[in-house]
Amino acid sequence: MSFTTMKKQLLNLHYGNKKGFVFTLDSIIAIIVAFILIGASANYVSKSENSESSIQISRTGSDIIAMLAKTNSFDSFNSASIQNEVNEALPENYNLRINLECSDEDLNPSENIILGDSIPENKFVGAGKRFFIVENPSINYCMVKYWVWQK
Amino acid sequence: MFKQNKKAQIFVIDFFIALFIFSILLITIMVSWNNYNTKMNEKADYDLLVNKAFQISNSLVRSNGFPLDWTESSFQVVGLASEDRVLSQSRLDSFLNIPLNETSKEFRTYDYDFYFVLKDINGLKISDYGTNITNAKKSATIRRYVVYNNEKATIEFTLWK
Repeated sequence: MSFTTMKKQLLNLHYGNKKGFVFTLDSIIAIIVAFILIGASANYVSKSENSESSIQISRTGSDIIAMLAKTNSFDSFNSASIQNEVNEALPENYNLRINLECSDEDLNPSENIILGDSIPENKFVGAGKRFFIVENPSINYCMVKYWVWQK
Repeated sequence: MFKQNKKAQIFVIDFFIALFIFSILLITIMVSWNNYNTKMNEKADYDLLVNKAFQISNSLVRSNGFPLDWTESSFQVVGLASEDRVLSQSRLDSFLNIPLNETSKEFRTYDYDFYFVLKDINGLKISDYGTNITNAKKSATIRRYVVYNNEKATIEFTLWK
């Protein structure tokens, strides 16, 4: 068998096409894997960015509730008045839901006020509670639960 | 001889296509890697700045400072609160009289400038301290809600450079 004939057989067109197909499939798989890795990194970076703003949302809620409690804004036990105080303090891009529960000196429930929109399920919601005493006219032991989120 | 040349050309074209795809992928990965690296470094710097600003603002609005009766000449730790998130007027006055280089040293702001402003709840400035922000390359502002003179107020603490 001559050298040319041997080479012809080695470089058989049918065989060559098959090899090319395997090579192309391999490279496509590699490209998909590479893009999955890039996508995962992008996802990680964007998720990390959210964690910092979540802390700020919670902090804003905690500050506002502390400020309202210290300025006796809950003492009236009047929903409209408390809502006005909340609206005055709350930044425009925030929402706040409040549940104020108070008990009298004998620990019998005396007040239960709920204010604000319902809590969303598709975004971050910061939450907490604060305890304080209100004298209106007698002593009330109060707990305010709050939920805060960005609009 | 003629056939051999043709096959060699097919191989070369195949090689160049593969090289082209590989180069595009490599460039994409390098550019993405560089972008994410820059983004993550910027984010890490910003987080550090925000944390620093938060720690300082927290110590201002929640701590009494040390000693308890500190003045502009005797302070060791600056804190403006008479109680949690309630600012004391006398401590605020003392704070405003401390030379800027001493507070920078106390807050350990290093090569950053800072700006503190106390506002009423409607946003009207009551007092300020520090270097106001001009052409900042990096800045982080923390707003805290406080009580000052029995009224609702806010403080904003900005670290910038």
